[in-house]
Amino acid sequence: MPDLMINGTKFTVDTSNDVPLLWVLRDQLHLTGTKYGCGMSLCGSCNVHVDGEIVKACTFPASAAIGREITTIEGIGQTPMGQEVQQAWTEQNVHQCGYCQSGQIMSAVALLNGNPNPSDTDIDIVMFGNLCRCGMYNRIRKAIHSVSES
Amino acid sequence: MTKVPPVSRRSFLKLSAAAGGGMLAAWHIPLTAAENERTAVDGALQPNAFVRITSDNRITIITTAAEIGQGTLTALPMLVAEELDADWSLVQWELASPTREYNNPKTFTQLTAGSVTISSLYKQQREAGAAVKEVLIKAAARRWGVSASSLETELSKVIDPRNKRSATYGELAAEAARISAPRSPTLKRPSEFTIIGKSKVRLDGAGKSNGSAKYGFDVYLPGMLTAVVKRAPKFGARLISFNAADVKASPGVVDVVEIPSGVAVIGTDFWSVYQGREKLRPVWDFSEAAIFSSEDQYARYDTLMDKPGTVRKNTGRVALAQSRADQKLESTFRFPYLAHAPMEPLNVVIDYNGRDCEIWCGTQWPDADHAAAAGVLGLPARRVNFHTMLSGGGFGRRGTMDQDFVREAAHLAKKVKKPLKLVWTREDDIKGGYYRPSAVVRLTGTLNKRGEVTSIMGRIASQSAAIGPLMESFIALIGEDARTAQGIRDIPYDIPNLRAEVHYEKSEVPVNWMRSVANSFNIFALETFIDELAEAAGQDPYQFRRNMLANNRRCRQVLDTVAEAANWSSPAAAGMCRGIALLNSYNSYIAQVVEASLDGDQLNVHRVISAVDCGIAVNPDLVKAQIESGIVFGLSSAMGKISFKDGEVRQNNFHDYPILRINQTPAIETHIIDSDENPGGVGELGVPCVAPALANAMYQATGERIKSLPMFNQNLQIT
Ligand code: FES
Ligand code: FES
Repeated sequence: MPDLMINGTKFTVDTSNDVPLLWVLRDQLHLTGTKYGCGMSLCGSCNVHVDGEIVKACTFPASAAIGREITTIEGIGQTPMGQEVQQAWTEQNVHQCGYCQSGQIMSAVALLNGNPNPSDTDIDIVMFGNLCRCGMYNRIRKAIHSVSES
Repeated sequence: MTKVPPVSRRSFLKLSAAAGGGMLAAWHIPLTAAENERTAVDGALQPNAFVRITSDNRITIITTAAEIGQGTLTALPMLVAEELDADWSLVQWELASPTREYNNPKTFTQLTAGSVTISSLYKQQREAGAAVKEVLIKAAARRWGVSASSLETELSKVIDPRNKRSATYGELAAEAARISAPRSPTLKRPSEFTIIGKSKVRLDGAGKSNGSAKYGFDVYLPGMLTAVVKRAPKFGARLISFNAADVKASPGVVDVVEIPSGVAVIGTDFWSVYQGREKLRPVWDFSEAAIFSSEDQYARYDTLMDKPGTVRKNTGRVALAQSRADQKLESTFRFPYLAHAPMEPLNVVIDYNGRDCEIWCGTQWPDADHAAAAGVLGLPARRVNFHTMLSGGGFGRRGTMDQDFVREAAHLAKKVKKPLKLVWTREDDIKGGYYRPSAVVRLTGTLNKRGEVTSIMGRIASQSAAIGPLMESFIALIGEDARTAQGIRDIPYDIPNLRAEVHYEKSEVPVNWMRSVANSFNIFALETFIDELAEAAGQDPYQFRRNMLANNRRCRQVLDTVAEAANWSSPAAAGMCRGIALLNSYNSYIAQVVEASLDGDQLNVHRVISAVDCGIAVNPDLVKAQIESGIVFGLSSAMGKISFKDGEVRQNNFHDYPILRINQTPAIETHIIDSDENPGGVGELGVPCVAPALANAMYQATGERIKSLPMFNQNLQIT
């Protein structure tokens, strides 16, 4: 059985049967911060980083992540940017139910890593893939800007 | 459904010592003799802890309403902490499990719905905090041999200013637990508040930022199996057969089990059962299924518009006013079914071993779920241990009248008798019913020569979520109108002759309340119709509304505030159109102005300005968050639909049941009116007005009235 490198730790997992990365994280490793919302790459609740890029784990085969660096919401706080974004989210009361927010934070961190000063349009382009049924979009935008400003 | 206990049995606060030298304040309801006897047999009552103070000076507030995103876990502790003079940085939350002592004093159940949490618990929670503070002061007074009145409290400490000493609540808790709590403690005046009215950061925010917050979906038990259910593709269809062999041969599948709602595929993990389910090839009997199209249903509802319905409101004489009217206007509106689509799909973790049962579930109605599961399993309630988890949204779907998803899990557990997690996929959710009902609404209005509205008559055809008179009286308790005339029968305007009639339609399609319930369609109809009347009267929509609010000061104030903030008295900016709408519901008031522009088929919603009077805003930033949330929800509702063809739901997932995305979300500006009135509800308040205000704005640009939802389609995109 292959190994996956997740948040800096090696895990031996079963990647057979085209199992998406999301269900390896959740059902095999009980890393429950990554959420299931649609299973069709439509909502971004399952967003994680693979080699620093945003990946929708619900449709990304776990086997495709072998030999690559996977970061989830549980690990992103170990990077300075991840920590700042998480803090901004808490301070700005971005959460309502919070269920979408792991994925939102993962997208925001990737955005800010590549572009420390994103415009509103830059934010739209990256955050477009993340649905929030609680509608906290303006707070998400504000929190991203607050990280740029700090 | 849960039995409603008699009102006369007033609960009171009872204190006891907690392990490790702290104290517990618990609600206690005096028992009847029969219950006393049963309790003696069954063992001690559950300690229904409400406030827990531990010797390390931490204060845990056990919150009795569900957290579905609205901020309960912050707002309710704020109420307790205020009166307790607690050090807010030491306050933490815990979700209550279902027991009668945690019932809402207004609804006699633990249902979280109808925007009643804060308004109904405002006094109770503060009284609890105040009572605990009084006993802590008494304990200090005894310890120091001084009079209680010479002592003060601040930041979780009792202070003796004369003798310059203090003790923390944690240090005093064990002694305080031996003193009986006062029944009517003194409460602060609003001017004395230091926590209520402040925009505290959410207590559940940090855990939701780092992935550690646990929702129902996140519960894993040793040896737990996962199950998905194949349900009938048309409501009311019956299962004839299915291909169990192929499914069982599928990797990871452990069993295939028939339950009343369909066929469950059970296996080691989600992916296995999800794939296995594809191979089921079920055969259904559709002879008793609802086979219809949305168009058929609208046509049938249309015919009802010419027939009198059940009268839900009748003041003055509408027929006479209509016969004498100078002008008479009539408009008919159509509204589709809608799915709540909470971000976390439904799920239940259940562990039943044939004797006892334990359940973990994010729900809006834990006590009803608890009772329903016990009922299905044939167990006494005490053998079912229910854990209320965080919910990834609810909007009404997690509080259905028949507890459908928990009941389904219990049926499955009864057959499997192993720990398992029942999961709904997003498609299961979108296709699974319990929708906001579809509706047709006809409004008839009359004007006199002076352009004043002399009558309004509303006729509504829809399904009701309430089945039977018991449900209806229960729904009345939480302020919802079972017969779907909400919004029209309680119109805020001075209308001398008002009549509301309802045709209550039956269908196999299960419906349920959705955030803002009948207001979600009736207010669209009413507030766009008011604009039609204003135009017929040759008046400005804002002034026209204002003229009908002589007897409603708070409505006038929100309307004036929003008009001023939107600079209504000056014309809209070039290329910009704007519309206004008003709502008084949930003991709160809101007026909204929407600014939009149309560029061909592209609609841009620029800004939504709201003025809100919700009485005392316990946490103003969370009130604003709720209004923002409601606006996005309301715009999403104007954009999507659940439609039927041959009895089958056509939508599947977020690609064909769209909800608003970040780039479509307008700027949102919310003004909260300063108030000392008791709090009203805000969870639903932001939803109903935004779509009619937008429709009123679009009329300015297009000259066309929008009379059916969704108002966005392939030709009209919101950008
Ligand atoms: S669950 Fe992966 S995008 Fe929705
Ligand atoms: S916070 Fe609830 S879905 Fe985004």
